Amino acid sequence: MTTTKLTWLLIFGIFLVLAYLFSTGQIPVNRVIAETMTTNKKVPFQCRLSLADKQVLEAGVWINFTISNTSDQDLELLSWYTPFEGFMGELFVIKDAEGKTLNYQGPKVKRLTPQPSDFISISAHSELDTELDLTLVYPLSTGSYSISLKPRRLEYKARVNDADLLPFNCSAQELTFNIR
Amino acid sequence: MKYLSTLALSGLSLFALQVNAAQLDAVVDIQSSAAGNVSATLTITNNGQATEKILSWYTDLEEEKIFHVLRDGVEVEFMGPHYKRHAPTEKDFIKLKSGQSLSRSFELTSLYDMSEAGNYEISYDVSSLHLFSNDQPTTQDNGINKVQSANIERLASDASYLWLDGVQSKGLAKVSKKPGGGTECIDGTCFSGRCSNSEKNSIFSALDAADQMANDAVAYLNSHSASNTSARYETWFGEATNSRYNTAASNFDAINDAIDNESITFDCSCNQSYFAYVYPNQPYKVYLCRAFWSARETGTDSRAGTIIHELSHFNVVAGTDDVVYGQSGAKSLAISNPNQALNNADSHEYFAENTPYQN
Repeated sequence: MTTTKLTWLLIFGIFLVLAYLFSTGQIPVNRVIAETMTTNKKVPFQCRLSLADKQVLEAGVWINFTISNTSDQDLELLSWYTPFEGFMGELFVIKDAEGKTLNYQGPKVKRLTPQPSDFISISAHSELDTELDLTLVYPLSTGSYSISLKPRRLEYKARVNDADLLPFNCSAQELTFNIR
Repeated sequence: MKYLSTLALSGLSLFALQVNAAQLDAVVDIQSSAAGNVSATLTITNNGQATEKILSWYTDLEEEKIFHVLRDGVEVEFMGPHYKRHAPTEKDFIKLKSGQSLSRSFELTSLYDMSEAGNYEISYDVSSLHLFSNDQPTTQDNGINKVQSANIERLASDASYLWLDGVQSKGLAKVSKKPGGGTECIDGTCFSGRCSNSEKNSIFSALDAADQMANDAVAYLNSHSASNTSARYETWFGEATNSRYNTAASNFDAINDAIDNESITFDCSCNQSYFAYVYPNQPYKVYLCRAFWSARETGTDSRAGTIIHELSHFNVVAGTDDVVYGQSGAKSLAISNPNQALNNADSHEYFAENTPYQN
């Protein structure tokens, strides 16, 4: 009987600590609340988006993009239309609380032939990541938003000297975040 | 006698002020190209016995407005930078030994508005407090108050004369606007970012070709239908439905309307390897980059096609995206996802360029 009481007291104590941490917002600041992975057996890459669920506009709204080479060989990723080259096109679809898509305000660039410097080497079983500030090119203000990668065909090649580019789709599930 | 010598002395000092550093001579040589560009070569020579100095800013068109350009007697606008500077230090001066000269060439039409036909008069003409030396202005007490004798130093060349045919648009006459701020407009087409005369001529020519392409695309879409497409439509937009076909038709109507009725601004400042870029929410400004200038006027990935591509991006036109790039990518997209093909800028460009030709 006493043991049960003690257990309940312990659980209650843990609950109090957690409630305190949650209400003061100590933990969620850099907490990744949602991670999505798209796995496709034929695709040697996995893409992942993450961002803190609570954001402050003044600090910029930074989203993290990670791409993993899940294959057994080193690969050359074409950086075009990936977050690794910054905003050269519309990378994300951001919707406000009403489901309305925000207007992309960055540039859209026409290029023709990828140059050697446009490729990024990613070793077998390793990953690369980068961060972008969404406030640079999307009219974000306080409120709730959802964000996903704009579906796009990306390309890679198996060896530096290969002429042929192989396509793959790098997609990620929708994340949500809130700006105070 | 005392009076006379004072007069003579003051006369001498006045004379000295006006012929400051007469030892330096400036000569300007003007050359015009068939494409309409004008190159000015400035040569400054020290014809004196002693070493002379000149403030380097005044030998560089990228730093100061060093040429005086008149068209039929009226000064033309300078579109280069205006800097606010600190007082010069010794390292800002170029030293010229006796007999030594410096020579620099500048393309003028990208920095002066020389797009209108006329008789041009061009001279080098600069003035500054510190043109030839870093000496501080002397302060004199004339008994009432202190007067700073600020001696403006000047160096100028003789004028050169040149007739220019100017830049003309063909059959694209629209209402002219005067936006200012480094932007100038000719027959409703505007230029910013230092477009030279030869670049302006290329743009007009490409815009004319883009206009024909857009007219041709609209004519195709008006004379076919969703149930009656041909290889040209199917190659770039895939299988037609009424809804998709209507999207294609309204997209090209909007592109055609932008060319015919909107004031498009072309910016020549981009030095990247790209063809071009736009900010889709900022119609109708198109930034042209290096690949644009080396492309052919018509055909696949041409200058005219690039204009169609870029106009299609504007949200107020067709709001297209770069879903895939290149002909093979666009062809695959037409088969795999016709809806996305109608959202792809290159698909619109290739349909308009229609190269190789298809019915």
